[in-house]
Amino acid sequence: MDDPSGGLWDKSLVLVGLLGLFFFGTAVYAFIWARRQRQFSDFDKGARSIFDEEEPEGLVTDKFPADAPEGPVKGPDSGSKPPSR
Amino acid sequence: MSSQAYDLYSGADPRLADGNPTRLGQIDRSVRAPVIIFFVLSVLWLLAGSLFGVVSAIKLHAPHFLGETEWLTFGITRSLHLNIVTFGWGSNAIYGVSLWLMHRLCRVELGFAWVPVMGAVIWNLALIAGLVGMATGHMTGVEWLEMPKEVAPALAAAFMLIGVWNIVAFARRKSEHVYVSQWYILAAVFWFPLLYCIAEMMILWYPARGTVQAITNWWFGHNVLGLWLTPMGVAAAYYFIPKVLGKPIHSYYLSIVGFWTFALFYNWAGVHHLIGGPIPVWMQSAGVVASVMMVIPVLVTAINFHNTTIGRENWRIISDSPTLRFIIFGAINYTLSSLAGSFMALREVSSVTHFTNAVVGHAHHGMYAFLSMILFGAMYFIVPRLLYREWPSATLIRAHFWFCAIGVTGYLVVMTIHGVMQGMDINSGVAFTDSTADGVTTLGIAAKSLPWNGMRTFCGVLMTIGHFAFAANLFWMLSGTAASKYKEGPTLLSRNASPALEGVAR
Repeated sequence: MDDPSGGLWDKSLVLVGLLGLFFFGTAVYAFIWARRQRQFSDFDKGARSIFDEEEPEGLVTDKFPADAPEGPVKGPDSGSKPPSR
Repeated sequence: MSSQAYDLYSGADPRLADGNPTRLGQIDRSVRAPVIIFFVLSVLWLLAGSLFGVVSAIKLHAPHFLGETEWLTFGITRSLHLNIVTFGWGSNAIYGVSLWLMHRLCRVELGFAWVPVMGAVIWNLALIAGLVGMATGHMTGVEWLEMPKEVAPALAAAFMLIGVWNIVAFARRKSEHVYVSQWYILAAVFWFPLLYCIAEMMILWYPARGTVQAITNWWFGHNVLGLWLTPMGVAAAYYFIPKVLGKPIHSYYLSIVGFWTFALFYNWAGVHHLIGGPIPVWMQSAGVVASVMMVIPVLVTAINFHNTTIGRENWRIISDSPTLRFIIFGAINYTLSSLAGSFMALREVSSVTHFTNAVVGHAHHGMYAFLSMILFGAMYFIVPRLLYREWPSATLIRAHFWFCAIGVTGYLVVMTIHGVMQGMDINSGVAFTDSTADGVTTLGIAAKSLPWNGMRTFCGVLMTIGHFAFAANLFWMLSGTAASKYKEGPTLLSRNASPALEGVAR
């Protein structure tokens, strides 16, 4: 007896396989694109691209808020006291 | 409001004499409205999701708890918990983090902030509609796609309004190099809508028959974690760890290897949820192979983070930084949970852990100990830069960290041990023999689970307390009371920064 769902089952399975291949293909395509864009040519520059003059390398950019006095403060140069904790 | 408070919406940067924002400040300002909205919504969903999680956990050792109300029965609360934390907490938080991070890395401003804001409104209204649908008996019964199918188009449209700005920012980027975080974000915003639409189509709108539905279901279910949540978490870790430490990542080469192996392997791994199920064996094997291949990107990433953060000076910065505390905890657990996942995909291990609490524990390892902790850390960094304010209470941050870290670690230990015990009992048949507890005869597996499920609830309550501490701090900060101070300097969040931490290259 013919199972009406049999053909569809096979078709769907092929579809799932194609989807997997499609996703794989997009990753391969993106890889080739990135290589053409010379994204893999200077790793050192890539690693340093998160720093700029405003937040330069060597600047620690996060710390617990201190339980110190309140009020507006001027700028980065006001914090030369020793750590409170 | 005291004199220290300033107008949240004026956009003037109190750090500078003329009130004009710096370059990064301008970028931050351009994404401020949508990002803050996403964060606030995500934290509200987090609280709701935690409560549903705790309620579900309690029902496992006190079955009559809230059992009189239909929509508060286990089947519904458990699914509400899953959908709220995934699409409410996780996705909203990720939208915020990715928009902020992408624009910052591309060095461009967001031009039309109202569009993602509209996306946020539609996404969250559709989510509410979907959850109400679930609670009123319209749940689909397909894991990870429980919301009624009618909300899917609205969710997809909302995603387009939000996610597309990451692509627009990338196309307009002014930075020469594409940083590895940008790769991860791009991959996620490109893959997720495809995944979601295909799964909705193939499972709910034009359902595939038979076991193909299950295959599609787990291809989708696992890829929500693998191709949507995970890349966003890793993207944040790759940015914030070197950023806060002020030194570049140990090996950029390794990070690139990690990304591309991740992109090539992860998509195939989902079938490992069906090991032993009635699907072709070659497909299960492909899933096992892909899951084990994931060891490569995971170890590469782990080595990279480890070598970046090693050293006494770095550890001092990490313990002094709310952001890094959370993110390092998350990064360590990314490694551990991914390796555990590869291990659990092996047939021999899966035959024990499948259908037990170990799987639930593993899900929380990935979704919570890894992803949520990293998202918390990212928020601790981002929100002060958007509001120009300090977090009001360091104590609440510490409470948040320790309650959540201890809670989730305990949860994982309890669930893993109990899961393995359950699996061995099931495989040996002991689970289905009667046992007597308190004079009531029950199945052995149910009687044995009571103390473990009690501990599970306890750990869930710990995490929930942490979430309330976080929410209190956030809403206190947003309310702009006198306790919130101006954020100091361009970067440091402390009034008393030590000279060593003050821009001196180490």
